[in-house]
Amino acid sequence: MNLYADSTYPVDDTHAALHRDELRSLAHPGTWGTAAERTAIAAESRRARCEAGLQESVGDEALADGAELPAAARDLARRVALGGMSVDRDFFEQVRGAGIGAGAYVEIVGVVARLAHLDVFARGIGVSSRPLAAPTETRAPRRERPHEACDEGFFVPSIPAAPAGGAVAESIYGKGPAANILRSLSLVPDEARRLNRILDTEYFSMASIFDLTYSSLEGVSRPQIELVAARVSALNQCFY
Amino acid sequence: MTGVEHGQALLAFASAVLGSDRAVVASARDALAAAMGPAAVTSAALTAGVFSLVDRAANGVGIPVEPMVMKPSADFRARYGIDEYPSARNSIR
Repeated sequence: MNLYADSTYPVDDTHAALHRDELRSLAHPGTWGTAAERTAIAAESRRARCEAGLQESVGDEALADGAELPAAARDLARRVALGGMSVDRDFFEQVRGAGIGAGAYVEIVGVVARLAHLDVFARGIGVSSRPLAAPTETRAPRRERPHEACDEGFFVPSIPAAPAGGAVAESIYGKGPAANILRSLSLVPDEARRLNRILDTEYFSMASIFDLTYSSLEGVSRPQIELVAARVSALNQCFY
Repeated sequence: MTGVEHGQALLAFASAVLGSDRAVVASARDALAAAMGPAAVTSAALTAGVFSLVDRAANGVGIPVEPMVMKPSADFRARYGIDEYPSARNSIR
C-alpha cells in the first residue's frame, strides 16, 4: 500500500516507495550507529520539533529513550532538527570534544536531516508524520571510515569527486563533478548516497540541473520550484 | 511581487509548512490547491521537504558555497541579508 494512501493530495508510487525506504533505514544499523541509537536520534529530533511546535506528535517520542546516547549527540540532533542554524565550527568542536567522532557526527546529521525531509513533506500534504519503526536489528555498525576522505573545507572530512575520490566517489556521485552538497555527508557513504538519491528523485540530478526549462515535478515550473526552495532555505538561514 | 506565476501562494505555503500554526498551514494549502491544483501541492511539499534536508546537511557539516557562485551572488546576498546568516561564516572567511 502507498505510504500516503490517506492523503487527499496525490503521491505517486515512486515517491511513496522512496519515503518508505527512508523511514525504514532509520531503524536499521548504520555505519556508526546501532539500530537503537539511530532510532533514538530520530525520535529525539522529532521530540525537538514537536516541542518547538513545528509538527504534531504521533506518539513515538519515547523511542528517543531506547538507547544510551551522549548528551552531545542529543544536542546535535535537536539543533539540526530545528534547522541547524545554531551549528557552527565551535559547536562541532565541542561535540568532537565530547567524544563523538566525525563519522558519527555526519551520521547523526544525516539521520535527522532525512527525517525532517519526510516530516516537512507530510505536513505539506496535510497528513500526520509517519510513525518511526522500533529498531529490530542488533547487528553492530561497521565503523568504517573511507580512506579517500580528506579536508575539503567542511567541518568534517569528505570524499572528493572522481578521480581523486576513487571508486567510492564514483559509487556516490558517478564520474562527473559533484557539488559541495552532494559531498556533504560523504564521510558516511551510505548517508551521501541516500541524500543524492533524494535530490535526484525529488529535485534535479547533475545531468538535469542546468536545464532551466525542465521541471522535475508535476504541476510546477522550474521557477516555482526554486521559489519554494529559496523561501525554505531563507527560513532555515542556510547560506549555501 | 515575485515575478513567478502564483508566487505569493507558493511563498505563503512554504512559510506556513515551516511554521508552527496548523490552521495557517491548512489555509495556505487550500489556497495553493485552488490556484494551481492538487499536484502542485504535492510538488511544493516535496520541494519543501527536500530543502529541509539540504539546509540541515549544509548547516550541519558547514559546507561553503562554491567559489564560482560567490561573486555573481554578492549583490543579491547583501540586499536580502543573506551574508548575515550564521552559516555565511562557512563561506565568507
